[in-house]
Formats: sequence, structure tokens, C-alpha cells
Amino acid sequence: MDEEYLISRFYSAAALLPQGLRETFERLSDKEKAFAEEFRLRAGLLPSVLLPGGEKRLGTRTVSPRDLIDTLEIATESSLHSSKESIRNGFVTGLGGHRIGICGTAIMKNGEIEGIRSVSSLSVRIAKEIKDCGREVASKLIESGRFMSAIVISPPGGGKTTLLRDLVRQLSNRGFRVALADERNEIAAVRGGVPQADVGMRTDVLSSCPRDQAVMLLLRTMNPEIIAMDEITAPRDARALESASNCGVGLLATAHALDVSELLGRGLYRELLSQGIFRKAVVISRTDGVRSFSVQDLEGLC
Amino acid sequence: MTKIIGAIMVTAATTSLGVMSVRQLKRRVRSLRSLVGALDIMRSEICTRLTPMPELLELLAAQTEEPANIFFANCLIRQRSMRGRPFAELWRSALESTEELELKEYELEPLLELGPALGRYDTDRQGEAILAAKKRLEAFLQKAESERDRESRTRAMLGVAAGVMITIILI
Repeated sequence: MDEEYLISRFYSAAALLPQGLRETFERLSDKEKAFAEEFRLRAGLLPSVLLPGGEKRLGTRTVSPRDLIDTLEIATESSLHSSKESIRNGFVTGLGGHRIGICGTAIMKNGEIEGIRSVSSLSVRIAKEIKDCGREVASKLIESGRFMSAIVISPPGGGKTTLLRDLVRQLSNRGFRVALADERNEIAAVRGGVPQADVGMRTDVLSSCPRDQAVMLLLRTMNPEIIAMDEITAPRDARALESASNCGVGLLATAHALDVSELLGRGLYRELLSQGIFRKAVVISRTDGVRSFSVQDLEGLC
Repeated sequence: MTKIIGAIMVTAATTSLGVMSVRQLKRRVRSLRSLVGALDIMRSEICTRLTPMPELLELLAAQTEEPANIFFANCLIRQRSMRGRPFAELWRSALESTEELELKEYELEPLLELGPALGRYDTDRQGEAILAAKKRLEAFLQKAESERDRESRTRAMLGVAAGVMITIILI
């Protein structure tokens, strides 16, 4: 992939950090900048960068709690209050679509997470658009001109979102009307109504809306042929998928799992697969830092 | 003849000084009033609509009265150009450079103190901080209004009287 592009994404994510920290990361070599996947900031410890080979600690200056708050302030353009809902889910999406995971002390109210105080660590995931990485996969998901509903699986950090983004673009540009339920706004990175990432010419994006509600809303209002979404995690997401599937809409989603057998071992997904909601599984595997994709038939597995 | 022209000029000059001083009082009232109104909008946008800061600054720059609108436009420009800097810093910079506000140092204080509370806390804390700043500005506004009502006529009259007095002394 274009190293220049990858380095530009590194700088785009580094721009979310306060100056002192940013300078530490900017001292990395160009090769490391291109391969960097995440910035890890933990209060009281040295900052580190996640590279394909693992985490590398940087500099001599430890991260202060103030650095963490400043990062969140910069990333949200001083609009932390607007990200209340996503903070409840432990993340904010910064400028450029970079997702920032938040750890700290949860504020509980009526048994539910109300927010996070005393932020203790942040993980800034560098959003990368890898165009055409899903070209072959997209071709395998279309049979006789019809899209076969698919679930993309890999462990966390495996590249599901990157592949999903390109699959959406591929399918959209091949003539399918795609509705994208982008709850975390990290697939299309919509800003001022305009997607910052290329998600295709026939894609409608509904961002920052809980997935289950987004699916139903898109179904009612946008007449989609395919509904795409990231990470099915809750039973209510699964129920929304069931409803959409019964309406004849193709579905494209992602889930955390190493492979199909691991996916089948979990109740939520086993139920979805046994109902035949997904016809294909796209498994992302990684060898020596290189990702590869395989498409597997799910029919007859359950 | 020269003496008469001189007398008229001196009186006109001192009168205009008086009028300028009255206008300054009025501008201060207008400035404080526009800021109080802007803080009202700011509070409801942050607490009710959760409006993101760039959008909020745009709205305030477009919809508030002068000179508050100039201040928020300056904030917006700084937010775009000083990316990566804390909001409190650009807020302070915009306050210090918006001369149109024509406020005294102590009147700017509530706003300077508000800056660090904006954008980095939850809605409740921001709402409280905005309300506290607004209350202090309202007190200044009340004081400025009574000063304006009390002193407008006096200052204008003093301008005319000073001119007449100087003329008499000189003649």
C-alpha cells in the first residue's frame, strides 16, 4: 500500500494528541509511522505505539492525566458533551475517523454506565482506508447478481472495519444501494454531513445511531438493498438483523471471533447463523503481520 | 470674529468629548447585554442539544448581537487555525483581541474564567459554569445600565459646560 498515504494517516491521528506527546510519536521512523496501528496512552507510563510486532514504548516523558483529557478535548474539538452517548460505550471518534477507546472509572447510574471519570488510558486507533482490499472478497459475495449476506470475522484489531469499509465501497460502486449503520462513525467518518472516507456512490450513511435502531430506520426510510454495520455485540442488534433479513435485504456485518467454529460457539451468533441470516463468512487471518481473507459458505454448518 | 469661531470650536470639541463618553457607556451596556444573551443560547445549546463546539461558535457568530458576535467569530477563526491547542487558550486569545467588547478588565474576568470549563466536561458542569458567568455579567450589566442612566446627561452637560468655561477663561 502507498506508504505516503499511510504516513499521512499517522500524522492525521497524531494531530489529535497534545503537542508534547505528538512530538514523541513524530520521532518514529517513516517505516514505523506507516505500520503504526494504534497509539496507547496510559497515565503514569511511557506512551507506546502498536506496531504489527507488538507495542513499542517511546520517549522518556510519561503520560499525565492532563494529557489524556487534552487528547479527548482536541479529538472532539472541545465538544466532549456531544459525545456523551459514545463515551458511555467507552469511546469517542475523533477528527479523521480515528477511534479513541477510553478507560477510567465508570460512573454508574441505575445499573448503567453514565460516563467515565478519572480517565486512566486511551487507545487511539489509526483509521486507514485501504482501497480495493475487498475487491476479490466482494466478487465472491455476489452470486448470480445477488448479494449473499455475510459476516466478517477476526479478533479485535484484525482489520474488520477496514475491510468492511472497502466492501461497502465495492458493493455500492457495483450498483447495490447500500445503507450503512455507522454507530461509531469510524467507517465513513462523516463530518458536516459529508463522509470523509470513500464509501461508494450509492451509500447512505446513518452515523452515531445505535445499530438496532439504525437498521430499522434505514429499512423504513432508505429502501436499501444491503444494510452494512460494524460489530454485532448485543441481542438487540441480532433482533434488528432478523427483522431486516425477513424483509429481503442483504446484510453485511462484522463480529469478533478467530474463526467460524469460535463464532458458532457463542449463542448470539449461533442463533443468527442457524436462521440462515448470513450465507457467507469472511475470515481475516494474519500471518507475519500480513492479512489475508477467506470466504466460507455457512449453509449447512448449523 | 476669530474669538467667536475659537469659542465655537472649543465648545464643540468638549461637547463631542462628553457625547463620546456617553456613547462609550451605551456601548458597554450593549456589549454586556449581547454577551448575557449569547451565554443563554450557549447554555441551552450545550445542555439541551449537545451542540458540538465548532457548530455552536458558528451559530453564536451568526445569531448573537454585536459585539458578542464578533467575539464568537474570533473564537471560531482561532479554533480552525489553532487546532491542537486547548479551547481555554483560544477563548482567552479571542477575548483579549476583540476590542469591540469595550469591557473593563474586571468585566472580562467571568468570561476568562469560563473558558477552561468549556468543551471538556459534561453538560451539567458546563451548564453550571455558564450560568455562573452569566449571573456575574448580569450584575455588571445592571451596574452599567444604572451608570448610563445616571451619568449620560451629566457627562453631556459637563462637555458643554467645560467648553463654555474654557471659552470664558480664554476670552
